[in-house]
Amino acid sequence: MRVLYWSEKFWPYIGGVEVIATRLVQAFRARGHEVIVVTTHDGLDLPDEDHYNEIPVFRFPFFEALAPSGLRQLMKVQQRIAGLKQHFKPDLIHINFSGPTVFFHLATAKAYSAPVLLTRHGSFPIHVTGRDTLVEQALRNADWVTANSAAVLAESRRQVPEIIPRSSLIYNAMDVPALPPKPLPYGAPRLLCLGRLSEEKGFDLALGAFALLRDAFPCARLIIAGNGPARPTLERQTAELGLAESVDFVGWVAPHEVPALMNAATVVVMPSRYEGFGLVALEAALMARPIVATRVGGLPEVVAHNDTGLLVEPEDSKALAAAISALLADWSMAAQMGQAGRLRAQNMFCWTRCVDAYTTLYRELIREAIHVDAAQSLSS
Amino acid sequence: MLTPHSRFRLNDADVTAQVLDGEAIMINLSTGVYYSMDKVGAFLWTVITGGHSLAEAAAAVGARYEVSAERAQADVTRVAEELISERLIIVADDVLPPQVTEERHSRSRLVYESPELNIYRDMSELLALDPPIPAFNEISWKESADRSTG
Repeated sequence: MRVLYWSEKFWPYIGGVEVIATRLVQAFRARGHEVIVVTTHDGLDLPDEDHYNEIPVFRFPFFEALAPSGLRQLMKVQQRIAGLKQHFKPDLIHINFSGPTVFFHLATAKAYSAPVLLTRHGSFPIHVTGRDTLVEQALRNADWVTANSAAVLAESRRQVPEIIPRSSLIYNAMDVPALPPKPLPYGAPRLLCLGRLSEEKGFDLALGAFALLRDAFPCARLIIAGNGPARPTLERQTAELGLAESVDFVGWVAPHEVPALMNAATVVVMPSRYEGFGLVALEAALMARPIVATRVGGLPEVVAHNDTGLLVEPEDSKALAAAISALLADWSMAAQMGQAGRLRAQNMFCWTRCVDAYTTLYRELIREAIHVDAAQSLSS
Repeated sequence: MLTPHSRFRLNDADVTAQVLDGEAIMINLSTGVYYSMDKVGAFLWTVITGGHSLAEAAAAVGARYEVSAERAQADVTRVAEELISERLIIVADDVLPPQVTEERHSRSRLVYESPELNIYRDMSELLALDPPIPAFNEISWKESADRSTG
């Protein structure tokens, strides 16, 4: 089958959504499906037409075209998208829904008709809701909606109840890394925050918690891996708290380097304010790391409280510090939670099952569309 | 109160708009809300912002599309009211009627679909979520006090 896979951002951009997208399209191709990727240029100077492991990637200046000064470009981009759909003739369009670029899909929906699967990766921390929004129109327009966590599915169904009979949960998943987990480093504990340095990840709260732990664990280090717009603020906060000597900003980490990074960590800290699924928690669990995370979005589904890690309320540095302290003070409990997390992750977030679930859904949606077409041509 | 003789102009202090190949896109810069209309809607947008009265717009729609005069008039009035309430156009009875030759009903009128104004009230918030280019942070959406949540 031919699949047009729409991902707002895609390789070489790195984030939970992008990591899942790059792995999924490779898995679909490995199963013999023809896949193309539609994505945005974003900030990097990348070619309009490219390949990712032999998968054609088409990049468009979506964000520039959506700027108020870009209306003419917006219409040109719409025409190019319509042309690409008509030329590739996908059997199915899979929208990896994580932002406003879905506008271009909706605007070209009449130019080429194919069943649409929309995968929602998280909640949008925005205030405007209602029928006249892009988010709700995207959900309503889809033939089927999947969410990557029960929390995101429930939110989507609450928002647009008409999708209840045509929506389901497909958890994000990952292959078990080839690198085996190492024992937790204990003597000089290493806390790890990994992700995009932006407000929703709450790394400022991790810094606040780390400051509270300094007296009890003077040898501890906090590693902040990733990059993003909040980096200057976080670096300033680190200096103001007098933590510059014990906090390392290590920048962007390639996905294949993540298992080794996890292996060097005692506890993985996820103080997120918003999180659709929390792929870092899964990456940590697969490397047998205990996790301290906030009770937001899909994180309570990925982290089993008191079993594979500890959950705390968001926006609470003291609670975060107390949970980290509890794990650092009891190495065997921390190690046990890490092991339990690895087993649970292998069972619950199995990669093969995830790819199977998508491909089964693809087939069902395509079959359903063929039946509808046949019924329409019989009745006309 | 709109009458068949009401004329309009673009609210150009706040609105930027573009029509291309049968599609109209409008942005109200004072609210950050995006709009689109295609087919009949895009045609209607061009006619209404071109200085035609409601009656003239309904007649132009009826001449171009396979639709009854009553339905054309009802749709044109509904869309005009919506465009006014979204502050995309302003009633301006001082606008002079444009110099046009009347479009005659032809035998091959186009298929009619009721025009719909598509509204994306969350667009500016979505764009600000994960700003990909620094320039986006610098766009000052003139936040309206009565921002709709419906």
